Amino acid sequence: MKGGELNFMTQMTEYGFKEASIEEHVSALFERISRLEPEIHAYITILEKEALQKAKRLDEALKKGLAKGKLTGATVAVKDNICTKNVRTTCGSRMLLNFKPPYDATVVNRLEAEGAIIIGKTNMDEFAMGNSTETSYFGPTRNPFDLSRVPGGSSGGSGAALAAEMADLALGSDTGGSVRCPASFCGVVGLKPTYGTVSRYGLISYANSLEQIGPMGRNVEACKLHFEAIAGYDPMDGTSIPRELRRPVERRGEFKVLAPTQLLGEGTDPRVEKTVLNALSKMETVELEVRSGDLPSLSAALPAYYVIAMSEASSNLARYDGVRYGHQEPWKHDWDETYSATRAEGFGVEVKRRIMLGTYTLSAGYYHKYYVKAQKVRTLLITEFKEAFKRFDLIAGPTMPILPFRIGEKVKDPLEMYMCDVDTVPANLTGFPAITIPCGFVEGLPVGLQLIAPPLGEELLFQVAKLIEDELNLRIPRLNG
Amino acid sequence: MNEHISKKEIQHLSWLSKIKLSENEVEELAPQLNRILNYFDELQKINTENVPATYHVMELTNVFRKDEVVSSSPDIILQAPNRRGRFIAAPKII
Repeated sequence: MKGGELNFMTQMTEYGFKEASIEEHVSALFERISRLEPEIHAYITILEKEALQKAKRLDEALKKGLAKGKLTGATVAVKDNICTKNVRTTCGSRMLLNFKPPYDATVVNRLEAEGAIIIGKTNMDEFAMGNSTETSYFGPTRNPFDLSRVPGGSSGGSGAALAAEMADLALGSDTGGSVRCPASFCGVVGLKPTYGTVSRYGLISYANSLEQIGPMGRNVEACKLHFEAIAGYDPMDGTSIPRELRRPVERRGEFKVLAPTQLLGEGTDPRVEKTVLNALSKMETVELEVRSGDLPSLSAALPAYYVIAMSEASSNLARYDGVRYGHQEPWKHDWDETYSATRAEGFGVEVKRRIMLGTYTLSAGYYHKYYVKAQKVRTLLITEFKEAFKRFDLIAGPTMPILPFRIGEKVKDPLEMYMCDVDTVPANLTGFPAITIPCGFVEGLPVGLQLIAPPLGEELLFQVAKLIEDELNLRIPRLNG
Repeated sequence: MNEHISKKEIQHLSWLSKIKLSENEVEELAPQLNRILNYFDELQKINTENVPATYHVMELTNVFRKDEVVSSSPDIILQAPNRRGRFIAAPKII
């Protein structure tokens, strides 16, 4: 594909674009949003006027042959924890209800430079803490495949907007699975890039040693183009991988895939397991050789993840004092009282739980028992993954151990909710890239297959994901409207 | 299940975290936090003798740039809920 010579609309034939101007494409999209959004509730903020103006400008540039961007005409839904200049960025929280950042995140700048059109800010679990989008201050988003079910989370608005065809592409952020979970539950493709590949400048921090902004699209090619637009060195992010170290993992002809036993069996819905294994077994006829094996440290990944994520959250969210920006309660007797009241009113219950637990795991008596211990388990997991990647090209398994659950089903039981992240957190703990693609359906609900690669293995992930996508050739039903 | 934290300790955590909690919230949080901490004890089963901790997945070194102002917006102060002229106002600290 000759990127830059064709615009996104003509490249993405599978997206069903008609011969039309970008303005017509964007108008039709907003018409669809006006019909479907009341049921789905994928967006917190919709930017119709701004998007139509940009579409007009792009049409004019196209006529003059000046629109060279790889994503020219593509509409993008942006998760509401990614800063957009002068457009409120709420993080799904009352704390940032009226926060209008004075700058754009690097990913937003990069997308706009490639001709993409930001059409709105999507709903999410408050401060990205959750996997159902139910903890949002703005209320839950609904899964387009079944409106009584969650879209996953925390980037649930982005997943649902894509699945309902209320955007061409969507941005999410992935701290413990927050791109891959909603992508899996909504039957779309989502990538958690290698740590340091995509700039976090302008991403509101939750657990900064774990998280990456990730691209989402309705097929592998769209997700790949999206990724290529947002990835790259950024001096504004101190953890951005410098250009000279961005050596991609080489593409290969045949692939050895490890399916760890720890990602299957107990805790996994047998119907999900069967769907994933079926998809993998079909692949054996093509270029994939799938072997079962053990990665014992995986069984400790989930508690290690939650200890680290909560510890980092307690520190990162200390900045919300209501003084410089954000929600502020009327002044009380002194600073401590005002600060404590502001945070009591500004944060929802899940955010409070995580800040308090993180404060506990970092406190003097428990720092070594929990925080340092979890970071040691992280080392064990990284060592095991590195060993595995000496013999295998990829690690595969289900993205989510269960099907999308009903709204309200788990939200009262935090621990049961956390358990759903068991298959996604290893990629965050190790920093390795992981992709999810739809691999089948159970009772009309989508099932995602996850592939994990060694660092900088995004090309490899897209290559194999495309092979699987072509081989399975799923017909994914889309919402009428 | 072990009780890791008492209600009194939760009130202390609430102070440390600067999140005011009602009596009801403390009642509700106590069993939840204990159950989660009990689950975190799974980590104690793993042998990590002589294993170094990974605080960051990349081998990071300090990243320096010249000490020059590259971007700065005077509008940044407009986000503050309480202002006095070009200053941000805050409740008294001591």
